[in-house]
Order: sequence, then C-alpha cells, then structure tokens
Amino acid sequence: MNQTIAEKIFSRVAGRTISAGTEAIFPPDLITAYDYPGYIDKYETQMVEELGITSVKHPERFVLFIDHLYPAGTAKAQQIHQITRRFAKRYGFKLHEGDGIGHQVISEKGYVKPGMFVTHFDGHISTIGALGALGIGIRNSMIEAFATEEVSLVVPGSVRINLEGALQRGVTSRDVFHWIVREIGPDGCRQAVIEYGGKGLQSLEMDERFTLCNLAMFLGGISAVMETDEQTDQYLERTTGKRHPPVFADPGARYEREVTINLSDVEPVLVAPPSPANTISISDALGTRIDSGYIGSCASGRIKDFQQALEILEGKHVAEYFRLNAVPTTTRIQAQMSELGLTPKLINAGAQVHVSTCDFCIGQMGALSEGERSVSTGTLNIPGRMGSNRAEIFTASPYTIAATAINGKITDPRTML
Amino acid sequence: MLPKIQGRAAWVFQEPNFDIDLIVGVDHMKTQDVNILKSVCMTSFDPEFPDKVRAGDVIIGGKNFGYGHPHYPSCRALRALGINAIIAESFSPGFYRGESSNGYPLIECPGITSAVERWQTISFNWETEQISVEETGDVLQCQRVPLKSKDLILTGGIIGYLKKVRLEKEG
Repeated sequence: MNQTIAEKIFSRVAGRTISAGTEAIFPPDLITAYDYPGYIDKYETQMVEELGITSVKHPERFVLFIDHLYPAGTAKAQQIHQITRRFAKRYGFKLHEGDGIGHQVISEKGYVKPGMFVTHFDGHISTIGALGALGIGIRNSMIEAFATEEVSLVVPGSVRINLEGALQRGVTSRDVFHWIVREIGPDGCRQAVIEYGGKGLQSLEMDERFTLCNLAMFLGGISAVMETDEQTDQYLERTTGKRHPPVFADPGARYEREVTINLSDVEPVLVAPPSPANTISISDALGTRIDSGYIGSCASGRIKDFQQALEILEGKHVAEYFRLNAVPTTTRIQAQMSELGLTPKLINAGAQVHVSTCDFCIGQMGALSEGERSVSTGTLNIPGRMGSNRAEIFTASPYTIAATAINGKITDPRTML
Repeated sequence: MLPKIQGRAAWVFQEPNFDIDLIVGVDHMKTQDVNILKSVCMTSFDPEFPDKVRAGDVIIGGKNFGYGHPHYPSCRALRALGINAIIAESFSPGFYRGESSNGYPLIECPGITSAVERWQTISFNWETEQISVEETGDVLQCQRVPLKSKDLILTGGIIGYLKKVRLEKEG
C-alpha cells in the first residue's frame, strides 16, 4: 500500500495498516501540555475529582512545560505553576520549567524522534513536523489523553506541498508560509496534514523548517510533517545521540491535493490585522507607522531568526521611541545567542533581549496599548492578542521587523541588505 | 438519543474562514457571565439577535467556519440562547475539535449556504445524515458525523464521554 507520511505514522501506532478517513483510537508516543489558567489546573481537577484517576500506566509518555506566565509576574501566576508542579509529582510526569517554549524544548531535549505521534492541547505542536514527527493539537480532549493515554480521531488526509528552488536574499520561511496562505487560501489544507517535501525543502535550515511546520493551523491544517534528510539526521544525532530511519512518503501515495511552490518566487509579505488569513505584499503597507517589534515565539525566535535580523540591525540603531523585543524560543538558544555574540549586537542596536517565555506573544509582557501598531513574529495577529483589542499587529519576517525597527515604519528589508 | 435538530436558520454566514470570536466580540474573550455573553451574542450582526432567536434555532456557516484561534465564550453564548447546532459548509479543525468535545452538534453540509436563507427551517436526520429545507423541499447530503462526535453529544461532552464510553469499557 502506498502511504503518506501521516498514514505510515498512524499505521505504526495502531499496529495495522490504516488509511485516511479511518476513525480509530490511538495511543500517542508522547502526551505533552503547558500550564495556563484553565489548562493543567483543570486537568488535575478532572483527573482527581471528576474521573478519580490516581495513576497512569505510562508516566514516561508525559512531558509538561511551564512556559506561559513565566517568570511568574504575580502570586496568582505562581500558584498556577505550583499546581503544575504538584500535578507532575503526583503522576510522575517529567516537567520542564525555565527551559523555554515547550513546542521547541521537546525537540531540543531529544524527546521527539522521527515517526512519532505526539498530542498537545495546542496545535502549534505541529512544530515537531520538522523532525518527521506528527504533533496534533486536540484542544479540550487533552483530558482524554491524560485519562486513557489514548485519543480517538479520524485519520486525516494529507496535502502535499513540494518546495522547489531556493529563497532569495531578504526572504524567510515566515514569508514562505504566508505566501502559501495567499496562494492556496487559509483553508487550502483544511482538515489535512501538510506534508512538505522536495528539493527546495533541503535548501532550508532546520530553524526555517520548524517555523514552516509551526504555523500549519493557519492553512487549516491539522498538522505538518516533513521528509527527513541529512540535516534532520544531524539535528537528531545531537538531540537523541543516534541516527534514525528516514521518513518519507511512498511513491503513489494518495493526497487530497498537491501543490508546488517555487521558493525563488517568494517575496517579503506581511499578515495584516485582524486575521492570519490576511497576507499582503509588503509594498501595500510601506511607510505605515509602527511602535514596536517582537522577534520571538514558538514560530520564530531561533538562531537563524536573530542572525537574519542582525544582517540589518548590526551597526545601526532602532528608531527613537521604537521598542524592539528579542525573545529566544528556548533557554538553550539564549545561551547560543551569547556564545555566537548575537546578544551584545542586538543590545547595541537598541533591542531588549529577554529570557525565553511565551508571554510576549500573548500580551503578558511588552503589551501594546490602544492605537499602537506592532510588527511581530508571534503566531497570531488577532485583536487583543498582544494587549489592547484596539492595537494592530502585523506579522512579518525577522528581516522585515529589523528594517521596520530602524525606520519606525514598515520597510522592505531588501532595501537595507 | 441524539438531540432533534430542527429549527430556523437564525443566521447564515456566507463568508469563508469566519472567526468565531466575532460572535461575542474580542472584548468578551474572558467574560464568564453567561448572561452578559447572551446579551452581546451576534449583536454586531443584528442588534436584536438575542431577542429574535428561540430555542431550537441553528446557525449556518460557510467554508472553514471557526478559522483562526477560536475561544469558547462564543459557543457558550449561542448555546445559552438555545442555538442547538451549527451546520456549516465545513469547519476549521481546531474549532471542530474543541466544540465537539463540548458535546455541541456540528454538522458539515456542503452546499448549505446556497440552499438556506435566514429564518427558513431545516431539519437534520441522524440516520441518513441529510438536511431538509422545509420551505423549498431541498435535501442535502451531509458529511459523515464521526462516531466519537455522536458519543460526545450523547454524553454531554468529554467528561461524560470518558466516564460512560471510554473508561467503563476499559473496566
């Protein structure tokens, strides 16, 4: 049988050949979650009080992260973290606190291996697709995963996106993703796993691949997964200490749709408020006054992102009154930024370099007030996402944010490279 | 028994990729009081919406309904007003997963937005998975409703489902 990568993964988990459209119950290889009011505190109440479950069979399959409301700015936030620590201890779950954003830490710490099936509340777990693994956000059926160590779902179909060519200077994988949204529509991969492959994929570095997979939900995707190659092998050798079999789809696998994107066609784009569906050309917004910039989040905020920003920022300074926040995705990336000398360069250019946290993406830190406008590599540009409901967020690439930060208005990064 | 779905189309969203948060508005994403949610529900589309709807009405949605970063207050408001199902051309997967786990009937019905006008009456047959439009006599075939979604509706949501379907079976 000729299978997509997702079908291969679900078949392996189910222990039988399984194809798209089948409804079945699957035990995830990893079950992962972060805390936030109404998440782990609720799971604990549901597990202990409503379902009376005092232990799980495979605690080693669970990994929890404290990455939101971190570091705790209030006693109430610290109390949420206390509940998470208690929950982890009670059931014997591994807990990471202060290591950075879970969607990336989970790969960095070697939990993720190619071919794995991982569940989370949050759909941005699709980030791990860069390693040939399938991460699916199951929203409030997370309690199903905690309580039964299994999840019931209909095996999704796949949309194949073949990447060709290579990126032009000043263009990033962030632009590629939003370019694809404009090309095939925000529902272009609805209810499907996005399977990336092709020679063009091999031209992208791992940091760029994580970004591309992270944003899958804004194409309507359930998740994203990539073919593995030599670069993936090298990354996994560092994180897991060994090599793994390659991940690829069978020739003749059935897709709901096949799309070819030539990376060399892609130009810088912005996502205009108020929806992640609104990709616009940078030329449509040039000169728009901007108050602040944010380079970070689980989507961006890796070494490559800061290197790109510094191609423009180094030796210059952000505009007067412009606030630029640089937030590494993980604490390890924060250390690498120091080792590579990126941190002092960012600081000298007027950026504030912060500890790894989700909080800038959700307006808990560096919040926007009414009437302000921001350029952001955060995941989302909906009203209220980064503070006031009456602030506007344009999502953009690190290059575009750096160029915009220098001028205080939206600027085409290609004019500054 | 699965709930009877027969009622008027209280609103027809023709637009694709509709952001569900707009039903109560982004200012109410953290509002817990269901009476406040009811009073603001859909008022940016029709200021008298909360007074016009009655129990059993349904909402009709376009393609990829629920796109974006859906929060729960909007459907809490709809349900509190008696809207007992959403029937859409298709649903965004995150929205579908979240609201079906709350036991809310969500039916995918290709062609529905061009077959139904506001205040026309539809009924859904759980056996044939077809929708009939009372005024026109049109019958539309819907997508198969997953077994789990039906169980979630029958058991009132994820906790009831786990207790009655999943944990009991495992003994």
